[in-house]
Amino acid sequence: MLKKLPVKAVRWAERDIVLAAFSTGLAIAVYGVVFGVVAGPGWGSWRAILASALIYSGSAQFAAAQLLAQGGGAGAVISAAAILNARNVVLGAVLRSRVRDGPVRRAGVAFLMDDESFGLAMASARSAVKVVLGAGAIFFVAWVGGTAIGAFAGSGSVVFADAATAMFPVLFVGLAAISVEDRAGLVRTVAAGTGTLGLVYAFPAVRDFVPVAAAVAVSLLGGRR
Amino acid sequence: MSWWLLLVLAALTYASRAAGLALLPAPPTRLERLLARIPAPLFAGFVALSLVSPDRSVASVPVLGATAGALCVVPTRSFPIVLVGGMAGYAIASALT
Repeated sequence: MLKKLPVKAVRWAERDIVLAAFSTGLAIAVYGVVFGVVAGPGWGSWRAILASALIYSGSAQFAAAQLLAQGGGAGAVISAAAILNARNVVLGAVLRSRVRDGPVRRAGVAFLMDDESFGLAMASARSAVKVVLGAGAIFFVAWVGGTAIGAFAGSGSVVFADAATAMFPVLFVGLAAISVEDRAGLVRTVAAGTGTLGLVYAFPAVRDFVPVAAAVAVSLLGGRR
Repeated sequence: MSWWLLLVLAALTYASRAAGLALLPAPPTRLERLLARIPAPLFAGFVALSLVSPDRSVASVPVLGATAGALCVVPTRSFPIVLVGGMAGYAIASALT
């Protein structure tokens, strides 16, 4: 199957980006509901909603909720967030290569750059900044709105959580498929995927940083372009 | 979750996003070539990440089915088709379990 893959990177048209943004936004909203249900009782509904609006990072927020529920201190929560967020530096650096805007605009765009908006921006034929702003706004509203529903409506509002979970690998399979630029890139992509699978299983404590480390490693080791 | 901790987490998260995107200068050509190679392996890594939970449990069979369904139609390189493939895989795996 992989041999049939065209060996040239492609860019999605606007229609595909909009479809991906709204379908992913639905999945993010469901995750927001789950976060609201998890954090709302302990943090208070409004604080959980504000956390989603100000922090706007599912992995950091879920980690904080879990650590605080287990009696962890502020130091543990901050350390976990620092590790989880370290990959954003690499994502930002990769996205920077496609952004020519000034520092103030880039600083504004940075707030809405998460894994999903980054992926769509890299996949799009349109301006990366416009895609991050457009898709990021959808994801932000979905995340904060979902949190509000979960915080106020409680556990009865968590439906389709498993289907939402399925949305993320499907999205990233699509993004990986179009981002492969040649056969060497295909080998790097498969190597990073399988390597990450093994490493996140072996080292769950640093799992969120593994995809970035694996991607950088295979890109450094990969052939010439 | 105290207010100051919430604000520290918000500042930390934003700083990590702005560090690479807003503070760094445009990368030199050689680095740009290296950075251009990263997205596809990174997305593959995110796929893998979403299939294993922090407690080392593997994703549910329907989620695995959705991933397999999406992978089956990868050669089309079309998101709508990948989405349909994922949905079909999810539905089939759900029906079988």
